[in-house]
This record gives sequence, C-alpha cells and structure tokens, in this order.
Amino acid sequence: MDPLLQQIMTLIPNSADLAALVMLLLFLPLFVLFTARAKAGKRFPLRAIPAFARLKHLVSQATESGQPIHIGLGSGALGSEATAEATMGLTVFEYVARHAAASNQAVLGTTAEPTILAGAQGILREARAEAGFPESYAATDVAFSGPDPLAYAAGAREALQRGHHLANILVGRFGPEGLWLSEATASQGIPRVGGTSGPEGAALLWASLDEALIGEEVYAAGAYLHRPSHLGSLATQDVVRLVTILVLIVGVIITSLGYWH
Amino acid sequence: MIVCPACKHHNPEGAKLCAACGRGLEGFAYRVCPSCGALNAARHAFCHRCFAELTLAEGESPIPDSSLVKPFTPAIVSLGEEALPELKRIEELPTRPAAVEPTPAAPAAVKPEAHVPLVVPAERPASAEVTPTAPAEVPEMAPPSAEAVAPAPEAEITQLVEEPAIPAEAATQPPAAAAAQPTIPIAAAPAPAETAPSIQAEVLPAEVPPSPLEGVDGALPLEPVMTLPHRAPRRVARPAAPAGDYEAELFQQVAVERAPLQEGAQEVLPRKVQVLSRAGRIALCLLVLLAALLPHFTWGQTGFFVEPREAVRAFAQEMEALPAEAEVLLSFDYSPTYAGELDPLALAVVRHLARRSVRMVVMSTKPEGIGLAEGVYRTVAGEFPSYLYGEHYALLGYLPGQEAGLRALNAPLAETFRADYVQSRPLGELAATSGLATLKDFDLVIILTDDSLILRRWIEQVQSRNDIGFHALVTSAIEPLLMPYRQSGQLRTLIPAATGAAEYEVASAVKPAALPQSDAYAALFLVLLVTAIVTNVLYIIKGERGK
Amino acid sequence: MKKVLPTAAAIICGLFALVDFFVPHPLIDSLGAKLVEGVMILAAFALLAGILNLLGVHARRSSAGEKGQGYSIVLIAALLGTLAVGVVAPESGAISWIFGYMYYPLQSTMAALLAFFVVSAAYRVFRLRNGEALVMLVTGLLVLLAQLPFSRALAPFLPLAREWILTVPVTAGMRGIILGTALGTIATSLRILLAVDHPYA
Repeated sequence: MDPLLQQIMTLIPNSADLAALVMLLLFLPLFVLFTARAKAGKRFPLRAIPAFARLKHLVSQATESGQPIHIGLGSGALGSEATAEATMGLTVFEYVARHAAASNQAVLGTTAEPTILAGAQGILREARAEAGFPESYAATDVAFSGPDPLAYAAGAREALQRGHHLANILVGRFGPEGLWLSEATASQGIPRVGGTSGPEGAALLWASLDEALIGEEVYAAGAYLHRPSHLGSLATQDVVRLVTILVLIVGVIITSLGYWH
Repeated sequence: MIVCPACKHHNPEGAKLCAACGRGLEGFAYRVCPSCGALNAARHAFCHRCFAELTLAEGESPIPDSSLVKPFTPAIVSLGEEALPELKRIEELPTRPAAVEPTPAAPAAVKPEAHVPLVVPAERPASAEVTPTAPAEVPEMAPPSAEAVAPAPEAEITQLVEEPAIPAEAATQPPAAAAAQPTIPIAAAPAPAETAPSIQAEVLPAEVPPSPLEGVDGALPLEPVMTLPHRAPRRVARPAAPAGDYEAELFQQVAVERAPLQEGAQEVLPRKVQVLSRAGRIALCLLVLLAALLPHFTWGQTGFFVEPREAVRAFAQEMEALPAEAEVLLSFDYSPTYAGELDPLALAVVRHLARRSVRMVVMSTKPEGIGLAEGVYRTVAGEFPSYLYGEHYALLGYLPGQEAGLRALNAPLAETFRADYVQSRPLGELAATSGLATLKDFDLVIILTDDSLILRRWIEQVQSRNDIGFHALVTSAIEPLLMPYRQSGQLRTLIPAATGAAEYEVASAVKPAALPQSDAYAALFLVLLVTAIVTNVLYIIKGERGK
Repeated sequence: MKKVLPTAAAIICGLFALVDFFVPHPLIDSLGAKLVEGVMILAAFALLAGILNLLGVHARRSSAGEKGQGYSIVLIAALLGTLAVGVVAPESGAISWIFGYMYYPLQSTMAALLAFFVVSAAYRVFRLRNGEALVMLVTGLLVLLAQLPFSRALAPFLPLAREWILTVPVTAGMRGIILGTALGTIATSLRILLAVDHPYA
C-alpha cells in the first residue's frame, strides 16, 4: 500500500470511524451546495405535512385571538443524542415566539432540560426586542419543571390547565410523558400538534395528538417553517438517505451472492 | 350564550358543562349574542355588532332599563352653593329660558354613537335652568339657529359654561317644570321611527353681548368644568340587522355552524382525535385498577405457566457458568419511575450472582440509580449474610457527564472513581475492586436501564472501544428499539423486564419473588386485548348503523 | 460581537471535537478530555439556572396569591429542604429516607398513572379505520397474546410469531429510525458548525 495512504490509515484505526468519516465527507459538500441554492431562492418541492400547516394556522389564529400557545420542548438536551430533536423544538418555538412577539402576545414554553431553557429564553428575549416590545419579555415565560420527564409533564400540565391556551404544541424529545401531557388538554378541546422521533414516544403521541409528526418529519420543522438553511440540510439528508439505501441494497445483494462476508 | 368548544352547542350563560355533550366549558373561545346572534370572542363583554351585553344570565333581557339611558345634553351643572362656592357666579348670568319638561318615552334602541352622561341629581339655581332634551330625542351636533344663540355679556361670562342651543319652541316651556327635573337629564332611547331631533340648547337673552365664539357657539358645546366624569352606560341592544347583512351571517355560519357546501365539494376538516367519553374512561380505569389488584387475590397462579424463552435461559446459564472470582460490572441506569418493572429482574440477577459469590461492582449514570442499587443490595445482603460489602461487592456511585462520563470509563478506574460510595475508601483498599485497573478487567457488563439512549451511549462510548460482553436488562417498552444492537452482536443479551423477571427466576432457580407479578401483567395484557376487541366491535356496529 | 463570539466558540469547539473523534493523538485527546470536562461543568450550571427559574416561577405564584399557590409553597419547601439535607448531611439516613419514602413512591405513582392513559390511547389506536390499522391491530394482538405467561399453552406458534415480529419488521423499522436520526443529527451539527444556524442565540 502507498506509504502516505498507510499513514492516513493509521490515523483512523477503527473501521466504524472510517465509515463515519466517509459519511461526513459525503454530507459536507452536498450540504454547502444545497444551502447555497436555498439561500439563493431556489424552491425545493416539499410534500404536504398536515401538522406544519395546522401549526401555522394555529399561530395566525393566536395572533388574532390573543390567546397564548403552549410549546412543550421535551426532555432532550443540547449536546446529547437528542440534540436534533431539541433543536427542532427550539426552531418551532422561535417561529411561534416571533409571531407572538410581533403582536405582543403571550407565549408559554416548558422544558425538562436546562440547556433548552437557556436557549428558549434567549430566543424569546431576542424576538421581543426585535418586535419592539423588550419590556414584554419575562424569563418565566419559559418554565423549567424539573429534569425528570414525568416531573416535567406534571409541571407543564399544571401550567396548561392554569391558562386558556389556544393550542398545545409538543415538539422535542418525548417519552411516555408526552401522552400524559397531550391528554391534559384533550378534554378542553384544545388542538394538539407535534411529534417526536423517538419510537417509544412517537407511537403514543401519534395516538393522542390531533396532527402528529412521525419520525423524521420532526427534523423538517425548520424547512417547513420557511428557513432557507434548513431547506438545504433537508435536501442533503434526503440525498444521503437515498445513497444509504442504494448501498444497503447493493450490500445485501453482494452478501447474498457470497462475494462478501 | 357560551359556545361549547367541542360540539358548538349554545349553552346558557354561567353554565359549567355543555348540555349536549357534557364536556366542561372552561376555556371556551366564543359567545353568541343573545340579541342579534352574532359571534363574539369570549373576552368581550358587549356584542361587537349590536352592543348588547353578552354576559346576561338566562331570562334577563338584553335591553336595559330605560331609566339608565337618556339622551345626552350638555348642560350647566350646579352642585349647590355649599359644595362649590365659586359657582355662585352662575347665578349672576342672565336668566335663561325655562327648561322643557322631558317627555318620558318607551324604551327603544338608541344610536350606539349617542354619548350618554351620568345623571347627577343636584339643585339648580333658578337663574340657571336647563332645558332637558326629551327622552325620545337625541341631540345633534349641529350649530343652533341664529335666534337661539345670544352671546352673554362679556363682563359677565367669567367662567366656562356650556351653552347648548335649543329650538325656539323649547324656550316657551315653563320654568317650574324644569325645576323639578334632575339637574342633567340624559337621553332616553328614542323610537327607531323617530327622527333625530336637533340639539336643545339654552338661549341667552338678546342683551347678552356677542362672545368671541359667536357663530360657532353651540356647534361644539363645551362641557362645564365642574361636570362630573362620564361613565359608559349600559347600552341598549339594537335590533338585528336585516337579512341583507350577508357577511355577518356567513361568518356565523362558518365559525359556529358549518356553512353548506357547494355541489360536489368535499369538506376537509382538521383532524381531531376523538376523546373517549367520561363513562368509557372511568370503565377503562376501573379495569386497569382491577388488573393491578389481582395479585393480591391470585397469589401468582399464572406463574406455573411461565416458561423461560431461549435468550433468558442462555443468560441464566452464562451467569451460572461464571467462576467465583469473576468480576461483573452492573450499572443501575433507571429511575424510580420504572423501578416496579426493573427491580424484580435486578433482584433475581443479583440473588443469582450472590448465591455464586461472584464479585459485583455497581455504578450508575443516573443520580437516582445508585439509590435504587442500594435498596436491591440491602435486600440481597439480608438474604445472604456471608455476601459482604467491600469484600464481595462495592458501590462506586454516580458517574456524571452522560457521554463524557462514559468516555472517561475507558481511562483507569481509579481516576474516574476516586473512592467508593458507601465507605469513601480508595478502590485499591476494597477486596472487591483491588484487582481492577481498567474496564477490560471485568468479565462482563450488565446494564439495567429504562432509556434506550443510555444504552446507546454505553455501546457507542464503551462497548465499541472494549471487547467485553454487554448484557442489557431493559423495560419492555424499549426492547424493540434495541433489537438492532442485539442482532448485530453488540449486545449479547436483551431481556425485557416485565416478563423476564419471572422467566429468569424459573431459569436460575432463585427465590420466586417476581412470579406473583406475572398475574398483574397477564391481567393488564388481557385488558388491552379486550379493549382492542370491544372497541372494534362497537366501531363496526356504529358503522353499520350509520349506513 | 454579541452573536459573533458565541458562534465562533461553537465552531472552534465543534471542529476540535470532530478532529478529536477521528485523530488519536495524545495532545488532542487530553485537550478533548478538558473540553468534555468543561461541558460537564456547564451542564451543571445550566441545571442551577433551571432550578433558579423553577424557584422564580413558583415564588412569584405564591407571593401573588395565584391559584395553586399552596402547591408552589410545598414545592419550594421540598426543594430547599432536600437541598439543605443533601448539603449539610449527605451521608446521613435523611437523604435515604427522602429518597425511599417520598421520591420513589411519587415517581412510581406518576408512572402508574400512565397505565390509564395508555389504555385510553389503545382505545383510539386499535380501530379498524383502514388497512394500516388492520395490520397494526393484528400485530398488536399477536404480541400482546404472546406476552401472556400461558401463551405457549394457548398456541405454540405465539412465542415464535412474537419473536419473528420483533426481529424482522420491528428491527428493520428501528434501524431505519436510527439511520434517520443519525442523518438528522449530522445535519443539525453541520448547521451549527458552519454557523448557518444558531439555536442558542
């Protein structure tokens, strides 16, 4: 083998790490390309996801009616395996917060994760300031009910039952407590929208939400809420997913024919 | 009337439950006007169309008492000499014509723009008689006729008074009648058929010199300084708009009742999950409660049928085959939420290993996990007195940092855990941990967890860098999520705790403490089965009836 | 500057962590370990900020006399009491008592409540609306029956059916979800690394 290649291979002793590097090298240029195209205004065809349409409708309804919307951000932490879901929760929160701030409306966010709390508070503060109502910001508009998921659900339930909310939106990492939180507003007839990608919570949320995001639809939140940077990354994910599927099919065929063990 | 958020039924004001569907009316968003039927937001107190009061109780008329609603007439106010001595100068003004006795009229709707001040009962001086407008007449904001207005002498007008113009015929009214009237009469509701009358203003005598406001005097009648502040009165409802008010009707239909669709059009309603009725929920809850109480009556009868599956049998055999000096790392990574499910399996495994005197080192990546581990080992230590802390087993405590903490496990153990959790002694001083330098010195790792992410962390941060057998004892909910890791060989064992505890006890022949729970699990699964079957039977019957 | 500094810090630390993952060099490894320790410390401070937020919300509620102020007072008292005991006497039996007689039963109670909601959700989920619902119903019934201790006595194929369902279609689905989650995580990380998105500011 070429000495240079040998030297490079010694840097990456683990085949799993090598696969990760290949994935990253595939992702990066596609990401840059698609994001640039999205920012330049190219339209990407997106299939209709009823949950996001309903979300936008509820936000505009809240602007007219003056009722606050509750956004549950879940228990995923920034920096953990649930970072992507937690980030999508913050993206949805930012969308709702900006619309609420523009008309000086109230908004309620709840979370079980302190890192999300800080992020959400920052988003809300900035939204209020940009809308011209910095004095309307209150740190307690985003509430931390406790690190335990069930304790969080109990606290968020109590906050939901306290105010007359227009909608209950749950986007982030949820487990069984998501079902409990969703059922809190079932008897009040408040629309419930949201989802999580974790299977243990996704099935329960799908059963109880009016419009549920199934699995990876959660990661498309930014793209559907009109953020060009997210459009680019969504397109990249789709392309890499296709490549992965092709590799899997080819690998299955090769292994089945006995060429690779 | 309150619009039910669920079924849109109109409920009387003050109702707590919907009369149609029985749901609570808290948080309702809309009210229907009792007068004109328009839709209004819940926070509004008056109808946006006809200004009727929305929060009237049942039986109360939306049209208020006429005595509270009178036409507005700006007039001079006299509060009496003892109240405001500076108003004595009003008496020095020229005599004004007598006031017109107000004609009480039947209550009827007024124009919503009518400004209706508060009635202020007070004595009026004889020289400053006001001319109250007839109740059926609404004053117009129009300049009075020239003969009706005569400017007061310049020297005598020393303070701001209001001088509304009044028609000439009003000047002929006797003053005595006016003296008996309240100081400021307010407009009553005029009949709809009546035309708006002109303003009845006071007419100054001809000898009053012209004022600077001649010509415009009375056009914008100024209120006297001492007028008491107005308060918004109860407005009288106006009758509903004629049927030609298409937009409002359409809004009501769209918002409250669904508008009829055109031919061939399909209605796309937002998806709404059907909530179980109150009776249904209570029935289901009672069933679940009965299932949970069953072990108290059946004493583990279904345990006789428990047959361990292959994976459980293999795990039990592997534990049985461990030599006495083997070192096992156990991580209690679950919370008290799922302790009911995982504790029995943890007890069964620890009992088995303690019976074989296998050394165990215990840690947790959850703060509450170590507390649960303490409880388990306290129980086992009571059953096996010769199984001693420090010699046979040790608790290392909580490892913070999630992924970062697990990565640190790849370093020497003494750097990650400075001392044990119970006695705070260095690891080298305990017989159970003295021979352990790194993670590779363990024979196997057993992880008890209720969170699939925790197990993934273990696999990604620890198992991928150390060739050690990983065994996972998990809650039944996350077992499917971890099957890929079992199939790829990254996990040697994957046992769900709900049924796994009883199966392990049978396979390893330890004390059968988890067997009674199998009755509760069996009953709960049966409840779910019955719910699924009954739901579909009812659904099909309902569908057949609907056809 | 207010946005540039956090963005620059995120990019530098993210790139360093990426290099640390791929390149096994002693210096990089030690710096990476320090970075990881820093993350742990930050997470602890974030938790402290969360606790202060919790105290603030409930203190405001109890002082303003809002509905439910009694619960807020109980929460504050429990939080401060447990904190005091944990700081003053961490190795005493008091903390074990609080854990065993308060925390453990409360958690178990809340978990037990979930059982009722799950059964209620099952009522909605297991309805024959369409073909997909039929597949889900049949699969669900098979797995539930197989979970019963006497399933083998009911029908010998039940445990085998459950095993097949879990190892073939369920595993395939889980693998797909794990792959998708991984792609989503890579995309999110790249957005932050390339300063295209900053959810923290």
